[in-house]
Parts: sequence; C-alpha cells; structure tokens
Amino acid sequence: MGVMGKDAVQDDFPSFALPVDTEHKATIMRPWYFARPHMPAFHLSWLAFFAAFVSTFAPAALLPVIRDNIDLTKTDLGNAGIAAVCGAIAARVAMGNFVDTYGPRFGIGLCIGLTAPAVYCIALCTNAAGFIISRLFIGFSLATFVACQFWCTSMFNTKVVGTANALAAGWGNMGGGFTHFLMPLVFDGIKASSSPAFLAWRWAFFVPASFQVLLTVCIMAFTQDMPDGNYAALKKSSAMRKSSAWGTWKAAITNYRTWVMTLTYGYCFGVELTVDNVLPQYMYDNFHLDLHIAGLLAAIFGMMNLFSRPSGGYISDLVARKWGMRGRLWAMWIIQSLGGLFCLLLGLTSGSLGATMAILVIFSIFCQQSCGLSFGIVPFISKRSTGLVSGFVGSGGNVGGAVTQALFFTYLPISTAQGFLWMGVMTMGITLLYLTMYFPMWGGCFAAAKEGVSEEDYYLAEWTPEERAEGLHSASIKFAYESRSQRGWVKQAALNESKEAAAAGAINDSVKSINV
Amino acid sequence: MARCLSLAVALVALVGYAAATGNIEDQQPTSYTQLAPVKGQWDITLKATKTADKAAFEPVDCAEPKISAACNKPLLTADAKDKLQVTAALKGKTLKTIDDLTPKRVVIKACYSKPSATDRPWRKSNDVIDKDKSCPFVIKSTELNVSSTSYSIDWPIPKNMTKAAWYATVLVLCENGTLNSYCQFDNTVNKTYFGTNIINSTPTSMIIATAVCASIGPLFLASYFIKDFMGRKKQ
Repeated sequence: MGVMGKDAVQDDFPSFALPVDTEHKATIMRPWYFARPHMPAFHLSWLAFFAAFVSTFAPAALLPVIRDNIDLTKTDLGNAGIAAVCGAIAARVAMGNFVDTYGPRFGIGLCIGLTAPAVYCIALCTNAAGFIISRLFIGFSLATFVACQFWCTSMFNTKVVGTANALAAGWGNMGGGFTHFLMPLVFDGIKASSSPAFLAWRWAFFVPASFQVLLTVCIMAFTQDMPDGNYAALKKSSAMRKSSAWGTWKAAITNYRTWVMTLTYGYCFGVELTVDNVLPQYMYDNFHLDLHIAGLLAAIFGMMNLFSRPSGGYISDLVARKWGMRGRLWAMWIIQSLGGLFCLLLGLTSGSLGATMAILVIFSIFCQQSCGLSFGIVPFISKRSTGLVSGFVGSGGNVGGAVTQALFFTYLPISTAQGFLWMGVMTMGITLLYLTMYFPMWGGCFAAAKEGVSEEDYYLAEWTPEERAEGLHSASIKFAYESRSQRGWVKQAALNESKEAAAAGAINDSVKSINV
Repeated sequence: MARCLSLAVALVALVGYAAATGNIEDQQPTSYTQLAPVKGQWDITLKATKTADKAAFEPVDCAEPKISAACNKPLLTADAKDKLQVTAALKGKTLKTIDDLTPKRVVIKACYSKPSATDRPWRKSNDVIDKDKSCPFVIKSTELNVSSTSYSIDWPIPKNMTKAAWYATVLVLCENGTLNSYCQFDNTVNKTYFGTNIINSTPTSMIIATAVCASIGPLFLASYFIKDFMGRKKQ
C-alpha cells in the first residue's frame, strides 16, 4: 500500500498508509511511525545526515590526541576546521542541482557512499596536509543535508513541512554532539586492548565510516524518491516532466530571498558548526578537564538538537497557523537574535565552568531553533528550484561556519572566549536581514500582503509562457494551492469574511433587481 | 514536557559532576619567579640509549632547542624501548628551599622547548607552576632522601610522546602547613635538550584494512548502478 517497485508509478487513485494531500505528501508527521514510503525516507535521511555529522566532527572529538600524533599547530587545526566546512559549500550547491534532476535517494546514497573512503583514509594521515585534505573530503558529506531537506519537502505537506524538516535536520545535527561522546569512548575501548593512543585514534575512525557504508546500502534498498515512485520511473511515465536547467537556476538565483536566507543561515547553522569544532578543545584547555569530561560536556551542545532544532520547526509551523508567513519571519528574527545574544554571553563566562554550561545550554537551544525555523521558510521561496534553493541556503551555513571559524578562532589574535563574544555580535547584526524578507502574497515583517496577489501568481511566475503551455508547471499549481495555509487563519478569516460579504452583496443586488 | 524536564535535570547533574571532578587544588600556587632566588642547586645530566644502536650518547652540549638541530640527533623514538637517563645531583651538601620550608619530594619532568610550543596554546608555559602546560611528562617522582644527594632514572620514552625537543626540569615539593607547595626548581634550559620522534602509527595491517574497507562503499554503488542500468536497458 503506497510502496512502489523501482520502476512502478502510482496510479491515479493510490492508497497510502498515512493521510496525504493532492501531491500525495503526508499531512501528518509522527516520527514513531514507519509507514512506507514516507517514513523510511524520513528516518534514513536523518540517519544519513547524522552519520555525516558524526564523521565530520569525529576528528574534533579526538584533537587532543591527534594534534600531538601528527604535530599540528593552532593554525593547522584552524585550517582543518575550515576545510571541514568548506568542503560542503560547493557540494551543497551541486547537491541542490543534483536532487532536482536525479532525486534525493541517489543524492544521499552517493554522498555518504563516496565520502566513507575519506573517513577510513583519515586513519592514514601523518602530517598536517594529509589531515586537512581528509577533513576537506569528509566535509563533502555535509551535502546530505540538502538532499535530506529536499526529501522531507517532497514527502510532507506544507502544514507539517517545517516540523518534518526540523526533526530530520535536528536529529541529523545531533551527530555533531554525539560524536564528542562516542569517539572518546571508542578510542578508550581500543586503547584498552593494548593499542597505543597514536594507533587507537586511527582505528576509531573505522566505526563512523562503516556506519556510512551500512546506511548507503539501506537507502538504496529500502526507499524511493517521491510518494509516487522514483525519479527515473516518474520521468519515464511523464508523471514528472524535465524542465530547463537554466530556468531552474534562474528561478533560484534571481530571487533575493535565496540570498537573504543563505547569508542568515550562515549565522545560525554556521555558528553551530564552528562551536562543534572549537568546543571540545576549549573545554579541555580552558577548564583543564580530561578528554572524556571535555567531550561529554561539549557533546551537550550538539545533543540539544534532539529537541531544540525540531522545536524550531514546530514553532515555525505553530506561528504560521495563526499569522502565516509573517509569523514565521518574526519568530525567525527574534530567536536567532537571542542566539546571538547568548553566544556573546558565552564569551563572558570563561572563568566559570558552571556559568559556561548554563549559558551554553540556552545558546544551543536558540541557535538550533533558528536553524529549524529557517527551513520552515526555505521550502516556500521557490517551488521550481526547491532543491537548488535548499542547496544555496545549506551551503550558506557552511560559508558562515568557515568565515566565523577563520575570523574568530584561527587568524585573529584573540582568545576563544573573545571569539564567542564577537561571533555573537556579528550574528545579531546579520540577523537584521530577516526584516527585509517579503512575500507579495503573504507580506513581510513590517509590510502586509499586496492586494490581489495570489500564491499562483508568485509560483507560476517562475515558468515561462512556453513552459506553461507544455504543462511543466503543474506541480507548482498544486503547491500554490497547498501553500495557502501560509496566509494564517487571521488573514484567511478576513478573506472569508470579505468573500461572504461580497457574496451577500451580490445576492442583495440580484434580489433588488428582481423586485425592480 | 516531562522529557524536557528530565533532560534538564540530567544536564544539571552532569554540570555538577564536571565541577566536582575538575581539578582540585591541594597545593598553594607557586611561581617560577618566586623560586628564582633558590635556583641553580642541581646538576642535571641527560644520557640517551637508542635500542637500534645499543649505544649510549650524551647530548650534553646541546643548547639548541629546535628539534632540527644536529646536536639533538638522533631522535629518540617513542616506543618504550629508547631510553633517557636523567641524573639530578645536588651541587652542595644540603638543599636550600624558599622560606626554608622542609623538602619532601623531588619531581623530574620533561618539558617542551620553546620552538616545540610555538603556535600550540595547549603547550603554553606559565609562570605559575600548576598552570604550566609545557611539562606534561613526569620522568620521576620520589620522596626526598636526606642521605642522598643524587637521583637517577632510566626512563623509557612513552608511546604517547610526540615529536618535539625537550628539556628536563627538577621540582622540589615542600610541606607548607597543611598544604604542599613547590619550594625549589632547576632545569636544563639553554644547556641540554633531547629530541623525540613518534612511533610508526600507520602499520601495514592498518593500510590494508583501510584499502579494503574504503572500497566497499564505491563498489556497492557501482554494482547497484550497473545492475539498474542493465535492467532498464532490457526493458
């Protein structure tokens, strides 16, 4: 029921285990369900993203051992951290284009399957150059984020897409915290078998690498791209039409909202990446803790993603019910600004472990909630180029991570604590850009919607008249209809009232004309 | 809500545990500057044995702290087989300590030379001895014997010792009321250094295992796509 063979496509009246809308996207989000095809896609996509995070930040968890083994300097460590997030910048944009063309299943499968060798090979590096190159290639795996978000957007309805995206991304991001907990344990276990420390950390990387290989197999075997089948089959049956690649790119890059979200995501997710990179060392060096305790405390930041990023998506969907897209934008600005504030406060508590931990917990909640809130907005920027927009925004996160890591924790002669302080200041400044976001059919933070502009006007403007004549825009029509929920019930109620008033007025006029 | 509350309680407990297991000071902080008036009472000599040569060599006239310096060669390998013999002998008959405190313990440490600590804040030296991160290895720690004026040890270079140039430091611990504090020190800075190199940490078995495991993912994907392509071609 709703489970398709590789080359099969759903008939006109399919049945699914979960309630679905006109696009066959699930209208409910219950993480404890496993009904195919929606839920395996959800679970395997977040697990793949989780594995990518574990692998990308596994070196950070063992840095106190690695830096002595291969004689790294502070500059080398900073460059390696930058390489880890830079690797994904171009990869995320490429992934966005890839999933639009070939589907998210291949996207995720190829990404984690082909980066697993890099995770194995970091075990063989013997100098700074090898370490930096390994982290660069492992960082490519962070492109799974784009495919993960695209897949959730393909499988879940607009009313729950914020929650679905945030749950998947949040649980995936948790890998960045889980790795600080897992890798020291694995390292210790291997050391306990009489392996010297400089060998044990290398063998430890076989664990996250093997997990990636296992997930590759599961994704290719147990999932499909869309509720109705896989991309190849859908295109063959003409259920899915191929449109012009340049048209898809144009729709993404000429929309200023893509660039606003790209820049601002760099200061929630980018900040999160940077903190994942620097926190274990900061705990180890500043508070003189041993590797386990430092890793455990640093893990808290990433592990908060268990509920903080999903809560961001949930908040986004919740405020949208009443205030629509305007509610999402305001929530976004408020919460990300609070994230910046608490990052600043983190820099002021370096003298006290207790105060640092308290501020860190609150900072992690706001920082990760703002990541969840971001992807409550991104799916609505463009329907034609959903993947590409997700790719640009996702890569913006990595650019932000690279910039903040380079500026505040590598090249400027300031302490790590001061780095947190100035990173918080920069975050609050960049976040002001949200106030410029405006959707003509829904409004922005300060401006109401334009009269007479509908969702169809906005989404169909991405297609040329020729493409519309060929019927390539049919998915956008369905999406436009479903996205009316972003008006919020306040506006929708006002619209309904005016429609009823207009209808009543028309009846009165017709009665008067009869009487006359 | 209940889950959030239990998570919050767990976090608070974790923070409390971390604070409790953090470093607990059981000494009064002392600085190298404070101990400067009583420096210079020890003769510290270093002698090394490389198992490959089975010969001892003495890097005595090595005032060059860089690991690349010729006088620091050959480098001792961190394999627990190459050894460093450290002898600390008192120049005089008795040991004079700061504030005339009673010496109780002698600690000999290996410390990073300045070039080996450059651009590495985790090896940064500090004037306050307890905050000094540049001396991570304890070569010997022994009760001070009033009848003995010399302390010697053959120290196997541990497997977690990194590639660096080092000098030796002797620290004397005294009783100070109910606390312990450092009351005298000496080192071989600008006199004698020794160099170490890491063990081979990429054995053949690791290289083979990496090659085999790294090929599994790409091979699976290649075979999947070939099978998929052949299947579609048949249709």
